[in-house]
Parts: sequence; C-alpha cells; structure tokens
Amino acid sequence: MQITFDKVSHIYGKGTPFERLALQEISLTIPSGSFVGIIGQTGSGKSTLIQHLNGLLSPSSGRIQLGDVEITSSKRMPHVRRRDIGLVFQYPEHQLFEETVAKDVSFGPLNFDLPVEMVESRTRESLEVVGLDYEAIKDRSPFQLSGGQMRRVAIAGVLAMQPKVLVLDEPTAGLDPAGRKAILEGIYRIHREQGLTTLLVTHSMEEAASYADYLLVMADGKVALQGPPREVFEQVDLLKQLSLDVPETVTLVSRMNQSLPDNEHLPHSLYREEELIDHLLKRLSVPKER
Amino acid sequence: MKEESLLAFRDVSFSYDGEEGQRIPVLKSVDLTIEKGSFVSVLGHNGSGKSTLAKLMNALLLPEKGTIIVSGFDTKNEEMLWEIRRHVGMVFQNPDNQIVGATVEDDVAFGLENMGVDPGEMRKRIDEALHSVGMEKYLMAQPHRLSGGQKQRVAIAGIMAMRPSLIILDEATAMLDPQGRQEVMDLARRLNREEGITIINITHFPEEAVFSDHVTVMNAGEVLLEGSPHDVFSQVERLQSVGLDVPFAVRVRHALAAKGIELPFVLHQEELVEHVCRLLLTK
Ligand SMILES: Nc1ncnc2c1ncn2[C@@H]1O[C@H](COP(=O)(O)OP(=O)(O)OP(=O)(O)O)[C@@H](O)[C@H]1O
Ligand SMILES: Nc1ncnc2c1ncn2[C@@H]1O[C@H](COP(=O)(O)OP(=O)(O)OP(=O)(O)O)[C@@H](O)[C@H]1O
Ligand SMILES: [Mg+2]
Ligand SMILES: [Mg+2]
Repeated sequence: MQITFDKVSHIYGKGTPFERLALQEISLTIPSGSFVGIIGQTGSGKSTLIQHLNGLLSPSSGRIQLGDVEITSSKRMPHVRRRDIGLVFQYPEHQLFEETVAKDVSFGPLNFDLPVEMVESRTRESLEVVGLDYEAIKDRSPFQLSGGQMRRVAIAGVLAMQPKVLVLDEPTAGLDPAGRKAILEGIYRIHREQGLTTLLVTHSMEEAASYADYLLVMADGKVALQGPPREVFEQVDLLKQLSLDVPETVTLVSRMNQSLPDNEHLPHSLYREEELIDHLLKRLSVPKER
Repeated sequence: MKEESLLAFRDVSFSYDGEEGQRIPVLKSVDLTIEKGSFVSVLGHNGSGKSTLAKLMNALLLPEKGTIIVSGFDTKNEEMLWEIRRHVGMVFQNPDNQIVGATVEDDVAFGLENMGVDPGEMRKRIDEALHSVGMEKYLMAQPHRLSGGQKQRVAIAGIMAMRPSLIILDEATAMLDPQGRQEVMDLARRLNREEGITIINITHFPEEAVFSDHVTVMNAGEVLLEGSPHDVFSQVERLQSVGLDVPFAVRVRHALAAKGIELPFVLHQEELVEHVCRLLLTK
C-alpha cells in the first residue's frame, strides 16, 4: 500500500501552555512493498509520525494518503480500514490487557469476526514468529511476564491481524540478541511473503542497515535526510550532529582505510556485517593451489 | 589486596506467586559477590531473572531461600529497609516514567524531601548531583523538553543526591538514541572511576560490557558464566547457544577464525582494525 504525506504538521496541546509543534510540514512518499527504516534522536517526532498511520493521531494540517484512503484534520480514517495497518507501539506492554496471552493475541482477529479455528492457528503462528512456545505461554497472564516477553506478545498480537502495512516502533528495544534477530527475521520474511509495506523505527543503526531498503532520518519534527542506507550512512558528520551514528561496520571500514594505502582501500558500500566479513575473507584467504 | 564486598547473594532462590497461587520458580541457588567500587555488567536472555536479581538487591523483593547482604545489612531486616534503598539506586528503561518533578531541580529534590533533608543541605546536594551528571545548566528546565539521554542523566542525579553506594542500571539505555546511550555509559563509567560508585549495568548490548571489571551471565535463573570481559566473551559459542551475543569485534574475529584466518583475541574495534590491516599488508 503506497503511503504519501503531503505537508503534514502535528501540534500537541494546541492553544495550551504546553503547545508543541512535533511535525513540521512533512512531505514524503513510501512506495508499496518497501521496507523503510526510521531513525532519529529521542523526541525528533518518529512516534508522532507513525501514529498518524492508524488514526491514533490526526494531522493538524496537511494530507495523508494511505492507498485509496485520504486523511486530513477533518477526515479521519474509516474504522474498517484500520485493520489494514498493524502498529506495534513503542511501549507495547501498554497494549496488553487480556487475562491470558492466547486471549490477548487473538483479540484483534476475533474482533474482526474471523472463524475461531483460523484465529487459533494464527495465534499459534504469530507467537511462534516472535519466538514464544505457544503451549508453554498461552495460559499465562501477560502481566506476569518479563519485559522482553511482554514485548513479544504485543508484537504477536499485531501480526495475528495480518495487516497490509506493518508499523513497528522500536520493536526490539529490551529484547535479547537472539530474540532481536529472530523477530526481525520473522518480520522480514512476512514482509516479503505477504508483500507488506513495513516501517521500522529503531535506534539501532545495525538493524536499519540490515533490513531497510530506504531510510528516513528525522530531526526536530522534519525529515533531515533520506535515501538508501548506503547513501545515508556516508553522511557520518551529519548523523553524529543529529545524535545518531553509523553501523560499526562503517566505522571499521573508515578506520581501516585510514591505515591502508589507497590501492588496498575497502569499498564504502560495506555497511552490512555479513558483506564485510565476506569481503575480508576474500581478501585474506590464501589463493588455493592449482 | 582483597577488596571489600558491597553486596553478596548466598544461595539465593526466589519464586513469584502465580495467578492461581502456584509458585513460579525464577532464581535457583544464586551465589554472587559484588566488590565495592567495581563496574559489573549483567547479561542474560529475556526472562532469565536479571530484573528479579535487581529487585532483590534493593529489597523490593525478599529471597525465598538464602541471604542477601547489602553494605553489611541483611535485606530481610525491615528496620534497615530505607537505609538499603538509599544505598541502592535503580534506573529503569523508560526515560519518561523516571521523572516526577515539574523542573529538573524539583525532580532531584524529590527524594531528598522525602528523606527530610534540611533546605541548606538540600541545595548543596542538588547542585552537586546535577554537576556530577553534567546537567547543572538545566536546573530550571522542564523534563519533557530534554532528550532521552538527558532524562536518564537527571534520573541518575536524583539517585546521586541520596549518596548511594551502588547504582543499578536496568536496561537504562534501551530506549535511547546512539548519543544518549553513549552519554549514559560515559556517565556511569565516570561516576564509577571518579566517585567510587559501584555500578551494576543490566544490558542486552554486549558492547556496553567490554569496559566492565566483571561480567555475569544469567541463564534460566542461574549464573551461567562470570569473569572478566575477556574470559566471558571468548566463549562465543557458549553465549550464542543461550541466545546471547558478543561485541562486534569479537564476532568478526570469530567469523574469520571459522574460515581459518586466525587473529589474536580482541574486544575492541581498534584492535581488530590493527590486526586485520597488518595481515592485509603482509599477505
Ligand atoms: N502527548 C504529547 N503531548 C505533548 N508533547 C508530546 C506528546 N507526545 C510527544 N510529545 C513531544 O513531541 C516531540 C516528538 O515526540 P515523539 O514521541 O514523536 O519522539 P520520538 O522521535 O518518537 O522519540 P523517542 O526516540 O524518544 O521515542 C517530543 O518533543 C515530545 O516531547
Ligand atoms: N510479577 C511476576 N509474576 C510472576 N512471574 C514473573 C513476574 N515478573 C517476572 N516473572 C517471571 O520471572 C522470570 C524472570 O523475570 P525477570 O523480569 O527477572 O527477567 P529479566 O531477565 O529481567 O528479563 P528481560 O530481559 O525480559 O527484562 C520470567 O520468566 C518472568 O516471566
Ligand atoms: Mg518514540
Ligand atoms: Mg528485565
């Protein structure tokens, strides 16, 4: 589903002493099927931006186009279309409310009148994608789980809706390394298999480099920089000015290039860890005897 | 010289009460010693018991079996409860939930007011605490105008004002941008080195652990591994088999070694750069 923002602004607490311009005339286009990474300093407006996609927030001015639906300050998203947009909140533990994990994950699909058997299989599948054992966890109370376990349950609840657009606000914060990897790989697989349009907000430059085909860099309510990861991560100084960084891979390449003669330089396009390792292996391996 | 221990777990077990009164065992016979003035990192998969460990350290929870001694006091000793809580400060994940005051100054004053510290002493402690976290210029700032990293630093100032012996960071950098993470980690290291505060950093980022004196790895409620960063992170496969990871430089070195390219053990990126460049140039 193609997503377009046309001069979208958002003001919190308009007319109060706490008035705050959180988005300033944002214009952007996200083609259907893309995987967009959104990075930016804390408070730069990432969560505000994405909450406009499922009707949680309405623009104060400007226009959003979600497929064939138009949203403006006076035109809200029709309720039936909200199921197309799956949003995992930044603090998904706030999204949990049912007595058991299984009820929580199946709430959305049941609410949209899917047959019970289908709901059960989707619940099972979604919990497995996020790396939880269905049988072991289904009857537990979501409020008696560790921070990382709650986060996984909340993500499963959104996946179970099978949305067309998947919006994830720092989904891996607080997850252990294996959980991070498993969940992102699971999401990436679903993204490709189901042709989703996916937006991933993250503070991890490595995650942005590994999964996104396009990056939006937010700063102070605006899009400060956008483009494919390779181009964005060339702007080292600008990113640092914006409280961000580049993936460790990029730092390693530039440090190595400082110590190596020009003819031995590594290419700057090595911003993914596996590609860097493959490159080093090729360069360091002794050529086989014939 | 044997350093004095600040905190000790002796054969500690703990269970939560489930919904239907059943017991959910979480920690199993944990023995742990935290040396005074050390910087300790705690790693472990989700649900391995790290936050439970932290809550036991400041007597928010009490052991079911075994003993926990903090600064010489048994956490089961109710009379010492407030003393223990003052000694052991905690910072959590979400920067927006940590701040209670309308200004930075109010926020740091909050704990002191509760303790009944007199106004003159309070002024002094607030200024000292904000200075120690590098936020003295923000005395009158409204917390919601601060970045995530700054909010976490203000939360740490609130603890510093109580003159703690130990600060536990329970994933305090999880919601921060790269610069905010760096700020909080730099601050923790400085408070440790310059003010002798013992730091326990619970984290999912192995990179944060490379500078610590000691690393403890939890797995399913037990201590799986502990030792220096070198000792712990050289066990790459063992860590990865329990859902954990190693710092970037260790990971790259390990991947090269798997294909027959051996380099000396490294923890930091700078060392990796040096070794790989040398190899490239002599090949
Ligand atoms: N409900 C609200 N009322 C008033 N101001 C708000 C509200 N929510 C957010 N803000 C402000 O709007 C700005 C943008 O906030 P937002 O949550 O979108 O940032 P973010 O980029 O998601 O940050 P983080 O990385 O910390 O999650 C911030 O200055 C924030 O303080
Ligand atoms: N209030 C509670 N009631 C029952 N069980 C709980 C409660 N809090 C935590 N648990 C369980 O105790 C175990 C340890 O939880 P704890 O929060 O200590 O883990 P953790 O290592 O901090 O995990 P994370 O990395 O996800 O924060 C988990 O299996 C969790 O489900
Ligand atoms: Mg946010
Ligand atoms: Mg925890």
